[in-house]
Amino acid sequence: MKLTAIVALAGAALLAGCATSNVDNSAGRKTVYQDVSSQSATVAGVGVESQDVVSMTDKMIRDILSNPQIAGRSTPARIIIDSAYFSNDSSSRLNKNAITDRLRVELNRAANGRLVFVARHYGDMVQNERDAKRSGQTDAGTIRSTKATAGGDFRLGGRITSMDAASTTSGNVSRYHQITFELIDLEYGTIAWSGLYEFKKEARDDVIYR
Amino acid sequence: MTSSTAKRALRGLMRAALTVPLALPLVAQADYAAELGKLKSAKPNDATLVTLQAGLAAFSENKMPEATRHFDLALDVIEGMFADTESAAKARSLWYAEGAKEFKGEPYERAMAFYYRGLAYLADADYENARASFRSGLLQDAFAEEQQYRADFTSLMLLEGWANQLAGDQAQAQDAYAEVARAKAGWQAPPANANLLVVAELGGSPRKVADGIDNHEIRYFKPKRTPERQVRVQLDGQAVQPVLVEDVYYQASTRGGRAIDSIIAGKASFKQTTADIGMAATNVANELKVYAPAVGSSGRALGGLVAVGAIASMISANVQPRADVRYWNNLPETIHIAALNHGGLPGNVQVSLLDEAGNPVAADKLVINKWIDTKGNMLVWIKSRN
Repeated sequence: MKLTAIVALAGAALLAGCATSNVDNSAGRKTVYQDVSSQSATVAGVGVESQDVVSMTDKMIRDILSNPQIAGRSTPARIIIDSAYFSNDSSSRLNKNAITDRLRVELNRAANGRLVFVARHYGDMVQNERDAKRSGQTDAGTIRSTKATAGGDFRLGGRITSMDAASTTSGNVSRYHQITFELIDLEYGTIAWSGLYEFKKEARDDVIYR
Repeated sequence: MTSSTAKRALRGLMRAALTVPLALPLVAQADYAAELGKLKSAKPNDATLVTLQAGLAAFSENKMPEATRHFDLALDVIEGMFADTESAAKARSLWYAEGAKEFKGEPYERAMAFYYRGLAYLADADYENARASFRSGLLQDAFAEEQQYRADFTSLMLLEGWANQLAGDQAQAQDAYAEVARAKAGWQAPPANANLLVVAELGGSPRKVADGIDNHEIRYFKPKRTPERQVRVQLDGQAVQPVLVEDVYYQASTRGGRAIDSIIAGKASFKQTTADIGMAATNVANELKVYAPAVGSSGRALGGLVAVGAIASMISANVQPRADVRYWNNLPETIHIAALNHGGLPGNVQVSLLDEAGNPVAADKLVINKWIDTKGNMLVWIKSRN
């Protein structure tokens, strides 16, 4: 009986010894769409991620549209939203256009005519076409002719900042992001609206990387 | 010709030969194609390591779209948190070596990944993301176990200041430069009107070598046969002396212990203990075999003892305590930086490499890349080795 147990143990050990291959033979995974407003289950860090972009722009859109100075005017205000004055002063590498583009597009859709958006980031494109029309290279088009392109009433400014903390004993890393959005009165230079979005993420890497 | 005259003449010839004008063909110095080939056949756990090496090779060959793509991919892994992965669990287990984990590099390697990505952002006039990269690199250095060596990556501080300066944020630039000055006494901040940064990388990568019983420890060694310690640069005839701001070997070797080290030490200890048990059981069984006829000991009991010894030995043989000694092999040993005002991208860049005593030394494969960004700011990047 004892001998049988010993032989079984030895067999188990031998099998364990044989199972030391480093080959990852797990099956692949087909492409699946993920919800952009929820955290990834497999890949995540402490930087700005898709769910943060969606949440912050949604919050700013609600806030801007509820401000009568901006969205409640009898003549729709002209607004410029791009990343020219929206700076990244954080530790997170990111494409600021991902934030300002979503803000502009979703705000334009939700405003439904209460705001007019000036395409300053397409300025060259507009000017080239106007020049072509006026030089006779193309005809005048079918809409109308204007003496000048639209001037803006308000323009987006803002800043992304962050504060990092790391613990060498626990391996914890945390990053606090603060993102400010402001609409500047382009005549008077005052701040007509301000919004703030902040979040803090904390994570800990596996012990083998600490 | 006397011996000293001959030496002087030889030294003069060497100096002339080592002053490499930019007009000479300097392409294909770093072998990006070979690195790309390695990347295609790399094991999944080594993919990030090979990606970093390919990124730097592409950077050396001025293939910036490829370099940025490689560094972005590698940084996605470095910045991601491996909270619960199969490869991490394997690396912790007794039956796999630490090298079974997906490579993310030690803090100095992670910091250098951010350093190169930041330089690429600088060349592309994206000063904000360059600043973010250098800051993230500094955060990696904050993981040094030994307090006095924590966040002392001077080159990243300087580059953060430079990115601030180019972005027009003078206050933050001065803060960063003040940190550099605290770390390096006598260091002079770039002039306010500086528009050109010279970054010279000398020597080869720090080497990780396995040491101790069953190779369970990592020891760092300086690269072999890389005597260059100083660099002198001439930009269109204007002499520039880049200053040593980083010793990458020092960063690698002063990191201190890692949390995983105690786990690996435990594996090594377990391996040793089971081996000892196996050996002892086998020896006892052999001894008893001699006296068995006299004392009437059962053959079955002896057989059991032999089996126990064999099992313990087998377990011991399968424990893998080897530390992970994979390393980024095309990093430099030191980084030297100078900043100045220059009217336009220099057409003629000449580089002289000198050893510790100031004697000229040969470069392995000298690379000189230069960029002028859309805002008129410039970067000259020099690397003495592949």
